[in-house]
Amino acid sequence: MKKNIILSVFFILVFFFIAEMYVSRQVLAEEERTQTLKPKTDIQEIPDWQARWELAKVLSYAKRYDESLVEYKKLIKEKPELYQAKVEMANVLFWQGKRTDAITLLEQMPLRSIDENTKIVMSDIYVSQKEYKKAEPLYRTYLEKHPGDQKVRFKLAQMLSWDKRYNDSISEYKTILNAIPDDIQVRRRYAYVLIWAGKNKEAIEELRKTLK
Amino acid sequence: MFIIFLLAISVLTTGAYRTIKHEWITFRKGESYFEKKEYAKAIPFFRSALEHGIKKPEAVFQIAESYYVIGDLSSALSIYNKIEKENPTNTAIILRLADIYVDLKRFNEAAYMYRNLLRINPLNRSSRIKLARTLAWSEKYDESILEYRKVLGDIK
Repeated sequence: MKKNIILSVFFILVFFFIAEMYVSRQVLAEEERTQTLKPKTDIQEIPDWQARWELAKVLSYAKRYDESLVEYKKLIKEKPELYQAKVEMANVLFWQGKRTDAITLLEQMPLRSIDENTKIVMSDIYVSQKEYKKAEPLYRTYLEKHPGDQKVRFKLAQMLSWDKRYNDSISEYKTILNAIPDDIQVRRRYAYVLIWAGKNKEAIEELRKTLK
Repeated sequence: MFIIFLLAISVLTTGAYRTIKHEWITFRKGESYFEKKEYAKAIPFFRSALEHGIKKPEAVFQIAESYYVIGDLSSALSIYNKIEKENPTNTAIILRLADIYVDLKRFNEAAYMYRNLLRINPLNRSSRIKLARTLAWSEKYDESILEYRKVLGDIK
């Protein structure tokens, strides 16, 4: 009898030991699986400066330029090394008509940190200020990379004509009209440059083409 | 002794059942591929296991997640939508749904999901920023600005 009791207790202990091991393994496996049930989500914390940068951009999209500039100023004060933010701020100033402020800001930055489109904005500002010598290399560098951008080439051609460099301007107009021969507006402008250059006969020929 | 014997038998048979039964083998294969991050291979096994009557919520999760990872967003979306109906307060699922809607450029639905998250946890900064971004992408600039200002503590 006593032997039986001891054996029973022994078996009960062995059983609970095995059962415990089995249950623990199941629980662990279940926990591991539950971990995979949670989708891996982006839990990176977004810092205030980044949220403010995004806010400044959205304010500019909403054409709330004054508010946008306030946010850009706060951002640049906190992160002066953020050239991209300065470029964007300069663009906002440009859209707001504050061209001098925009160019002053852009000139403080290394040229390599300014994107191509903003360089065109810079050129446009220089042209509006009759600073043709500053504008020309920016247009030309851009056109080396994008020779097919006739819109920018047209800006350069116009600028050269205003700078009285008619032959250079005519050369650019010829390139444009080779690419888009049916553009009447460009051909008319070209004709005016020919007139300014004293090439009246050629100008008349070009103007005739615009009447066909 | 007899009770102990019965208990031992039941534990062993449950283990054996899960090891030998076809749908469980299929499910485990799916899991094995999933753990190895071979998601495209895992999907047919999970599908087969579910079609053969296995009732494991994690199989459904893992199929949805596998579809998401391999970029089959519409399949992932349809499964996550079902999961979300059964688990309406599971923030991880709602967040995943919102992110899928953003990837599919369905910004209104994404915004709805982020707002749901914010109803559950109004202080969740990451969800509020994502809501602000989503509103901006759908050109609802004024609403977006409002959310950004809340994030920055400019307004409450």
